[in-house]
Amino acid sequence: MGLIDESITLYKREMLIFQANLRANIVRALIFPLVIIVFFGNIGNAVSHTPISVVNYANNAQANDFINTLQSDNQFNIVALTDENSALNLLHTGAVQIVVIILPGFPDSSADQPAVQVYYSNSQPQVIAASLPVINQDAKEFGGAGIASQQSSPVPQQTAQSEEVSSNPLYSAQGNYIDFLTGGLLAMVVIFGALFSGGISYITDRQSGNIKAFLITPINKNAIVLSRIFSGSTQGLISAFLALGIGLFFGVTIAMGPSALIYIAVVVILLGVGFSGISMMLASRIKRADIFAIFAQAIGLPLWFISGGIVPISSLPGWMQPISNLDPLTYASNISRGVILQGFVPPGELVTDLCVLIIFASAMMLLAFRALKSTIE
Amino acid sequence: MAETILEIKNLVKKFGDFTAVNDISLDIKKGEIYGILGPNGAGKTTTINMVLGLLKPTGGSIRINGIDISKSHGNDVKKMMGLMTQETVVEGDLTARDNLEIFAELYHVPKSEIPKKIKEALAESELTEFANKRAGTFSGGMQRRLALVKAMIQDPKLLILDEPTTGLDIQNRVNMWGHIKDLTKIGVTIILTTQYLEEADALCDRIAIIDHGKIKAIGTASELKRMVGTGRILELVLESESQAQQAAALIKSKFKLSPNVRIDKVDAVIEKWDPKVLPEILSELEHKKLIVASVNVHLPTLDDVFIKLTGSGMRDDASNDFTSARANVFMRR
Repeated sequence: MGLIDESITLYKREMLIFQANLRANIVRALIFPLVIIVFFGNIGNAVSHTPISVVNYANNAQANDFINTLQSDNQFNIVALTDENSALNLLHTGAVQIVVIILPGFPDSSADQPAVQVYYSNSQPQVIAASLPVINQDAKEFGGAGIASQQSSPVPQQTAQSEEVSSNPLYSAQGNYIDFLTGGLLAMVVIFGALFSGGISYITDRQSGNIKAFLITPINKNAIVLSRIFSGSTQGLISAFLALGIGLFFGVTIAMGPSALIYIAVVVILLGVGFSGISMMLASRIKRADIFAIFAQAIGLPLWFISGGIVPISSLPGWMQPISNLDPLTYASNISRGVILQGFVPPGELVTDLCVLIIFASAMMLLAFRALKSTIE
Repeated sequence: MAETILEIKNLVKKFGDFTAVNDISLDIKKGEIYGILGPNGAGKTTTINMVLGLLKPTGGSIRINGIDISKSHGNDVKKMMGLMTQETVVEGDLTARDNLEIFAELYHVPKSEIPKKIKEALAESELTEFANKRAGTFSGGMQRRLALVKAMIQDPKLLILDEPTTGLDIQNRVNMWGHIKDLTKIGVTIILTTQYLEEADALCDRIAIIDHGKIKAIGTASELKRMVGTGRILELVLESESQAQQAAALIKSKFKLSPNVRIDKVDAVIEKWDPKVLPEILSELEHKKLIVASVNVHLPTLDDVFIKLTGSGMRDDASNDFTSARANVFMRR
């Protein structure tokens, strides 16, 4: 019997306890992604009466019909039908969120001469994400042969040039917000699954005297730590796949297809090992589960936000953006978002991301061994 | 004379300025049940943790089956010892079988022997039909029986029972005593700590009484009782504290006894028991208008020994949380 065998025995015990409380554990793992995906994921879709202003250069019958269609759709509220400068002013002051410009050639469009042009602000990304496809669709209805003949979108999306308006593209070419959110949420549920399993079980085992019972057996003490790192990662993996399942149920599409699951599993296991290590380090110093929970939240939540969990990193305050480079979740999310949104991760990025995650996981594991070595004599 | 299995010599453990164990020496023979008694904070748990290798002694030596554990606390020594404490009963989320299997594996019981060992353990603990039920659903008595066979799964030579029956009702406690006694028949040596003195009296071949980290007395239960005297113990409860004081003074002067007063209670050892003494004492008290609420005369018990040696009753110290303070010290290290 060596370290691995002993760790497997203790891992088996952890998982039997997990299994004994399976229903509670599954519900706990489901609640968070369910709330986030249902609530935030659909925020854009539920948007109605988005204030817009329209600039009509075409001034023909089809253009008027197009305006009526936009108006009749509950999605929009046409605040002003005005000239371009006034419309952009309204956008800059926040009175409207989108400016739709019907170009003179409407409804005819070509690759270099679109029929409709749109300016928008990035202050509410979900609203824009929900609105642009609708405008696109409405414009297509009037496009006739002119639009059908071309592959490009009739609505080139432009952002207004202004200091308070971001010029960055939102999520990705094809992705919508729910895909974006799910990609980042996977990392989140893993780190919370891992943070709250290994350390909490160690603290309760210490209180109940189980750690003492393990220490007097002839096992390698590191098995106590290693088994919890295994079990934390397993629980992280389970949480991640449950979250992904919820995302799929609510309409998330995985651009890469089934092989994405392999990428996601690798990322999840590396994150799980790293954060289980952090969990064990915390447990080595903290005696009470309630105090532990405060620390775990304080570590997990900021890391998630900084990694671009809810909004893209580019939308974060400037001073936060460099910090995201130090956040392992950033690298994990880059892979999970890549496979979900784009269907690939550029090889160079993939290597970097994996290296960072491997180094992170190994370092946390070694630090956890060290932290507990000094507390268990 | 039987062989020594555990030899503790001049053992000392200090936590900073606090001396938890102060020069303790014990010699425990193969096959005996050895009781370690003491109020909370006396140093019992610290001593046991040192024997188990969980704490390093500040001074002195511990030899288990002839092996000096400061030189080698290897796996051989660990496999020789089993532990059952009141806190680690069993794991409620696991079945009886899983509880046993995990510890069998941790103690490196050969894989091929594990099923047989589990079967025997379940039969011994009368839990065969509950093998696949979660231990959390078991009664207190069933959980303790499971804990006992779990502590024995690796066939230890030395079994340490740290308050094995605390919290159990009397039927279950007596049932546990039977199981513990059975173990000595197969040659297991048992170290028992308990807060029930009648338990020590019923089970232990020899008893060491520890207080403030020092050994106060070692002997068989009857040897210890003889330290209190061969007579009887008189216990009087009076109406009030002041009456108790007066009664004690009276008993001391008239009957040449040396009574102890604890609030409204007066204890005295009557060395030469004569049935006529009791009515004489009572009539004397009545004469002084001291109202006696209750009278009790009995042979010395371990309680009396305990009070005599440590100056307090075992359970009086229950609120005194030294033991858990000690446990925290262990954690912090």
